[in-house]
Amino acid sequence: MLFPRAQSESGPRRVVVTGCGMVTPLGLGVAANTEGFRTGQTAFRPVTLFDVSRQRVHTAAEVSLPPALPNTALSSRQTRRLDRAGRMLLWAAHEATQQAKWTGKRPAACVVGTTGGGMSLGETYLRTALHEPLACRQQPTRTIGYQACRQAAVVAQACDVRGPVNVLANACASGANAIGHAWELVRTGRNDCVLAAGYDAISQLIFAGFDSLQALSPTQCRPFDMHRDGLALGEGAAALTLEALETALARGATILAEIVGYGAATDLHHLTQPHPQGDAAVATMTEACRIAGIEPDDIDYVNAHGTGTPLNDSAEAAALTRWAGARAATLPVSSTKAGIGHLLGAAGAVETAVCVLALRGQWLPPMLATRTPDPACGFRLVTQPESARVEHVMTNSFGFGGANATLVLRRWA
Amino acid sequence: MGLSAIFLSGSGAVSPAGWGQEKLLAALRDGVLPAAQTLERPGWSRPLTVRRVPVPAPRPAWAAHPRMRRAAAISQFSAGAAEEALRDSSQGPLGVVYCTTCGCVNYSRRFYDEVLRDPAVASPLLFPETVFNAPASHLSTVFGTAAVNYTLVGDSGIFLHGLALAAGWLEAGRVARCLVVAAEEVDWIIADALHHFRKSATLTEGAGAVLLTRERTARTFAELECVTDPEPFTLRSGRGERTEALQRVASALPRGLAATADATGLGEGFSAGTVWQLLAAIETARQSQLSRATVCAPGAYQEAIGASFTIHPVTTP
Repeated sequence: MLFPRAQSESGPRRVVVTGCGMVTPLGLGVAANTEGFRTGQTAFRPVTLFDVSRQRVHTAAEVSLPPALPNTALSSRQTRRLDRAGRMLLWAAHEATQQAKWTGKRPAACVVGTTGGGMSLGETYLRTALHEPLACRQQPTRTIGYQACRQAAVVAQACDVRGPVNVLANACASGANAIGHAWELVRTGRNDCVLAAGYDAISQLIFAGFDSLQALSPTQCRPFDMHRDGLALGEGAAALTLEALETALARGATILAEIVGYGAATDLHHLTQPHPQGDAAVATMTEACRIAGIEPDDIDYVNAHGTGTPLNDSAEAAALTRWAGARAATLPVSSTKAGIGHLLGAAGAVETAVCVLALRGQWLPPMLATRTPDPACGFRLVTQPESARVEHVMTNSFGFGGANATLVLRRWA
Repeated sequence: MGLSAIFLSGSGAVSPAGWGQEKLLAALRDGVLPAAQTLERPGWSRPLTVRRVPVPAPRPAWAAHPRMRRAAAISQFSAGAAEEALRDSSQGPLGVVYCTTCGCVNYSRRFYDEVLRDPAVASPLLFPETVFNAPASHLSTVFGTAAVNYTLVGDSGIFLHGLALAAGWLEAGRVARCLVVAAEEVDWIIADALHHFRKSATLTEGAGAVLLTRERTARTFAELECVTDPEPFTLRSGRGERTEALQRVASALPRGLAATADATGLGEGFSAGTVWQLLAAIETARQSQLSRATVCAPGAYQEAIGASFTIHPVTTP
């Protein structure tokens, strides 16, 4: 039963990450991404997925996807029907579940965040309907494949994850909300294991949308730089396997990190603009740390939402400075969007995965393009690769519609 | 973290029958359904059949909120249903779970139409309203709640997932009240897609909302008894598996006489149709003096799910 559901009688359970999978413009898989994020590589290039000649901006961070897919229980027909976004989700989920050694049919929930789902299939559907109104071939398949819930169900099936599948579409906070919701499911005893993921592919509609808002940088994405002029779009997916600590220990799983706090709130200021002082961001950071039982002094690194737009970064800078108080001056902060762009529904999941990598490797991901820090940043920007002692990290995700989310992770020693 | 009671303490609906739950229930009870309309489909001589929500009269007060000025129809329907569900509600932090199958499809189709014509001049006014969570964001703003707000995307059963999610928030004490809303809007592209699967289907639009509370209030009229696990099925072997999945859902629901209802006379309303079905089932239970109402949703994307509610007498007029 989804309700009522057996719940932990002994209070909140500890929740650990036992598997991590990533597909980003820096590469396929955790190994390929680790070095890229550690050294601050960038992956922007001219858009090849559709015609951008009439757009204001012509670059993005595309993923180089191999033609083959991992070997799973899916039929060749099912894999053929997955679009670019679904394929990235499959790669990430497969890597995470393989690393977690989730073999055989596993009773687990699946929570996925996205903004577009199979948007490219939806675009093809509309183009076909407009230009070949009487054509029926493949239109029903596109209709089904476009739906994010169908894509998530297929990927859960591929990974032998058997349980309820939920798709959260909280704009650019979707990935973080998906992990946060998965964390709550395990923490409260509703599920022992949850596959949590975020994914999105670059689509023409979304690219044109951000271009129409003049939110895309015509130069270079430089989060928290005084001269920043917009965000860059990227695409990708990340998946984490979350388990109750006792479940993970009982089966001898390798624990990668612990998720210890989650906060979510809604910014009512504007549909697309954050409150200038970042009130909702302060609320989510405060809530996540309260649940984690830690103070700003305990946070060793913040992976900021840091899109590179003037409004987002100034609001987040104000929120971080206010939330951190005296700790702000020495608090290391960076945005990995500097290297891979804004992955929208995947962003929160990928950035949480980066935090897992940073905790494991004891390093801080830099943003090399940020050369002139905005004076509004009352904290220390990480602009060069560096090693550091990292015990607790925080990741922020803020989206259209005022969807704000913060996660706090702890190193597993 | 023990099990606790979750109460239905408000409800609302916007449907082709009109603005307000009573109009929906009267239409379903009396079998006097609003007439279907035709919708032009570019490139086709034969129009598509749909049922639209009529223009509200008088104009609702929330429509004057700056956020609602350019909001899509789906947001307007959501606000209408939510406002009715929240009427005379108790106070306390209010969460929002917003459920949809097709989302803000009208603005999405219009924006992409513009992109296909010339992306350089596509309207920045349309794009923000294409995002799945735009209606949910408007709800939070119009009703003034900064608490947690999720948008769930799924098939007809997604509203029942939403009930379970909201119940979890209430049990955990994250919110004192939670609005669960499901909404859809008509556009020719969805009617066209539906036509590929069911030639005779009529696409319909509107919204439904319920207010869940942790505390029983004077306005409580039902209690959430259970939401079943979803039962997946495939369409490969015809309707057999779907029927079996529905049977599994039915067998997971509490035994005993329960009221059910069918809202499909209004057309295919996806997630919104499930709320209408629930509200009609509760009304049937009241009329028949049954103590339980159940709802089953065999989704379009190969998952069936059900829920059950016990009926409480309403203590205020």
